[in-house]
Amino acid sequence: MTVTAIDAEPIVSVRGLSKRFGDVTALDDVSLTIEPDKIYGLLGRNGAGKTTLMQILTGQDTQTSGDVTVLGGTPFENARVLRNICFIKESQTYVDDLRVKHVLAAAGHLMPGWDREFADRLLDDFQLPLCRKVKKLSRGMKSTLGVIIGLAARAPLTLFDEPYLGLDAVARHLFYDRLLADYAEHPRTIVLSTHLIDEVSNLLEHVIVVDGGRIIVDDDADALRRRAVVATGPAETVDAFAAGARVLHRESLGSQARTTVERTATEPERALLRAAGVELEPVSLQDLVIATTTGAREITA
Amino acid sequence: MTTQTATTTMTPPRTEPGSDSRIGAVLRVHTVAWPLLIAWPVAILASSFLISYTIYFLVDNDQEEGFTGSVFSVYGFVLAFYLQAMAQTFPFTLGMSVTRREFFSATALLALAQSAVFAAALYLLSVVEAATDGWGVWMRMFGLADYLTDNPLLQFLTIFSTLLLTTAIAIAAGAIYQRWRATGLLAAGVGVLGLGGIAAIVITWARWWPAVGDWFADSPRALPLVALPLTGTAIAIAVAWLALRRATP
Repeated sequence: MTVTAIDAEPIVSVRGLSKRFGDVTALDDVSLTIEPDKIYGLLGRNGAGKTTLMQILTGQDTQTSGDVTVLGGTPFENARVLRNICFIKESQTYVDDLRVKHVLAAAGHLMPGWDREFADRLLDDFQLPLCRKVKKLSRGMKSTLGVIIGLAARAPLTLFDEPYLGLDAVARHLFYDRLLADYAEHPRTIVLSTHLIDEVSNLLEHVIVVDGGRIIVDDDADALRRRAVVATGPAETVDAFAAGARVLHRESLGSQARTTVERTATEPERALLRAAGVELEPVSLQDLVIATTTGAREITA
Repeated sequence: MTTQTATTTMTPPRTEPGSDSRIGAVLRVHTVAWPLLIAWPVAILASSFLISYTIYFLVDNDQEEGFTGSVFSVYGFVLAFYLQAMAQTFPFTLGMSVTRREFFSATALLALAQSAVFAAALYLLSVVEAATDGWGVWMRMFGLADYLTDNPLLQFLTIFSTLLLTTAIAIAAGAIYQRWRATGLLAAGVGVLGLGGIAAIVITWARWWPAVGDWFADSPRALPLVALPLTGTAIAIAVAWLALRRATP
């Protein structure tokens, strides 16, 4: 198709990005590309550098070295770029004395793509009290306020950094529902950073895993799920299957073993393994992230 | 889905002509709860006026005009408002993808407009006060500037420039806090105190105090009343911008 060439134009392009705070290296030679109209998962442990990366992408902070291009420009103090970005972070300050309706009105003034009707519908869905002052909101309500702003802003590049601290499971699933439904109608680039990997794994089209300030996984979500399998069964057979491939995780109990191994199995292999009593399951995104991040830790240690 | 959405993708980032800057939008954020902006200072002034008025009425004040000092509550309000703007509205708007430059310009504009409106209101009230023999009880609440000069324009400008100076100091303190947190504020406080102390020592050592006093007495009134506060404002605003331009909340 003729559009593919245009489609390849990235929304975010980062080359050799490093950020140091004193003698702490928060980001170390990070390079990545974010393509338009996809949902990205930015995953990693606490202190891995996810928030720092997003702070730099959204012009909240500056890098120590490297090149960052967002929507065709450097984001820092660039009004043309920033007006197309909405960054909802867990630690966002809202003005204490303002009421929820004031905060939403303010967001409406600042976000060019703001959809007031959508915001009203979300308010109704999440049951957020319109006239309550920000300082009287519970942790969960504050998160809800952020989620509503992030969705109703309809910014071409929307980033959520741990957006739902204090939200219960029902509210979180409501958020996923509304996000997916609105994304289908108004495609845009969404970066979701979270610890609840299993909950969002079906949402994500692309996964980036940061660990110790470096990117250790940057892959299509489907490709990632095919990258490894979990084999459970007699230890000997399982180990034979895993031989030569990278073992991400292994636990054994007596003669039984359960191994996460970075390889695929062909159909004849699967049949053979099944006959030998070995069960193969696809690896969950969460297990894969845990395995890769703890693995990388051992290497650097 | 990729091919279907590709067309919407490449519409360049939304830029409606004429709305490139969000200074107007930030101004609207500052004033989104406008009752707060107007009602509070009015309520503060009205209540202190009523209290003073009652006291003056009860004590049958009929000789000297007594200055109540409650006009300074307006300065207190301005200080609190801009400290809050720097502590909360700044991180809020920056989180909503506003640039530091846009926030700063909008806040400075608001400071100018607010100081002008407040100064006009205070001046008009002082005129009424003078015309009614201190509200009929020889009370002097608003007529601060006419202790210092008889020129109406200078009276207005004195209130305006001192309000602006108060605002600028609040903005500078808030900006220093956003950039360097409490350490920065403490260092700035020690610095200002140190400079003032050194100046006092040098003036005392050189026996310049009479000269300083003469300058205040002899120079045209506009110099100490208007030009001096405006110079202070300019310095504070410059410091504020230097601190804020790379501050990350």
